[in-house]
Amino acid sequence: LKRLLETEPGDRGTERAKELLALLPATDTSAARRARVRIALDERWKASQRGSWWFLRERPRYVQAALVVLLAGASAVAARTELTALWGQHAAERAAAPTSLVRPSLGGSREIAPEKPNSTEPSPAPVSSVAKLSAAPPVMAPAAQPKRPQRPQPRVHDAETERERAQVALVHEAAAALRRDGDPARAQALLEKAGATQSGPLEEEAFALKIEASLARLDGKAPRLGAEYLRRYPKGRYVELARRALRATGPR
Amino acid sequence: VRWKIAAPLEFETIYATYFQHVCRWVRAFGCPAADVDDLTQEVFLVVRRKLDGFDGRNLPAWLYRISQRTVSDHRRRAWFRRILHRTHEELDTFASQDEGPSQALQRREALRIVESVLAKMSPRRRSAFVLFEVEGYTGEEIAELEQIPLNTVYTRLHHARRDFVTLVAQATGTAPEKHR
Repeated sequence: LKRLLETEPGDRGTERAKELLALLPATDTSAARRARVRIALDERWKASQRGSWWFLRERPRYVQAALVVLLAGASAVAARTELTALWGQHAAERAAAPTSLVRPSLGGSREIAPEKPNSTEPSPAPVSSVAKLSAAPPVMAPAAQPKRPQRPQPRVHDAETERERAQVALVHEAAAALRRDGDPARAQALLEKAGATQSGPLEEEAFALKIEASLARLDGKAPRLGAEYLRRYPKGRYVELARRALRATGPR
Repeated sequence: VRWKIAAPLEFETIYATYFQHVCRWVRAFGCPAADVDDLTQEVFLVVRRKLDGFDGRNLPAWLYRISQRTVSDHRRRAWFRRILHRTHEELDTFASQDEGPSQALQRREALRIVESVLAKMSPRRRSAFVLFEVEGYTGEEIAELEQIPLNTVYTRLHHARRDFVTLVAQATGTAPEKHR
């Protein structure tokens, strides 16, 4: 069988096919190509003979870097887990504490978390003023005020958490003294001790309790405290209480 | 036959003797010119790995089958490679051929037509056609490689030639005349 290019001239189509076929060069099998392929082949052969752990032997720096990255990742995950746990615990405490403290006085049914009554101390405050306060219309009506977005949870260390827990307990105790025991003086003392008006998770509630105690004792500090409250929390939950304190008269 | 080598079979001897043939076979199976090096390398990697298990009978046919399977695998994976890498033109495309731009353009266009025509042919006919018409193999050599009767090779060549002329006529707009 003759090759197409060696055949006798044929029709137009065959001649065109022959022209195109003549353009197609034979495969280049030069020595340069042979050497090039051989070098690449040896490289790949060596790589395939290295085994699975060649990387550990020949690239220790990469292995070290990978280990560092792994350790960093593991530490980050552990830290995040720990923080999440702390966060959850703290949020649960915050969610539990304020609801019992800041519940508005609706018709005298004030819910306060169970607290051991301090029966040893006498109640110096006049009963009439406390009764007047109890009978007063509710001043802290959360339904009337738009709900404020929850404040971001602070990231705290253990010591800080302990301090805040103590503050919360003191504010809690002050609320009990003021509303249940009718002892505004003790409530004021506890609030001072807590220092909760300066910082802490219940600072706004503590401020409101301070105003309430001042109003109950009629010590004349209520207007100043009311003004201070309005300055700090212009849209706070106890604005009505603060305004009432502003209208309160001085010491009698 | 021109590629017979004496025993014992050693990789170095096989590589030296068969490198050029493997390159040609790989191309005849429809491998793009740019991938011939890679696929030849792949074929010899397989040969080196499997040489110990080879029974020594008909080495060229064994190599030919390996080349065939390697190109077939390569083509199967080609769609994935096309996504990852852009097709690269062979350096030869940019080589100076001592011709003007219009001639170079014409030559490149003609080559593109030939490649597309070959790609449309059936794999068996194409490999026989390229090996015989382009690479210069004889019918007997192709029969030995394919392990088929000589007459079958000639039949394939006859049909392949007819397909080639018809497809070229279709591609170039030349009026095809009926082949018998």
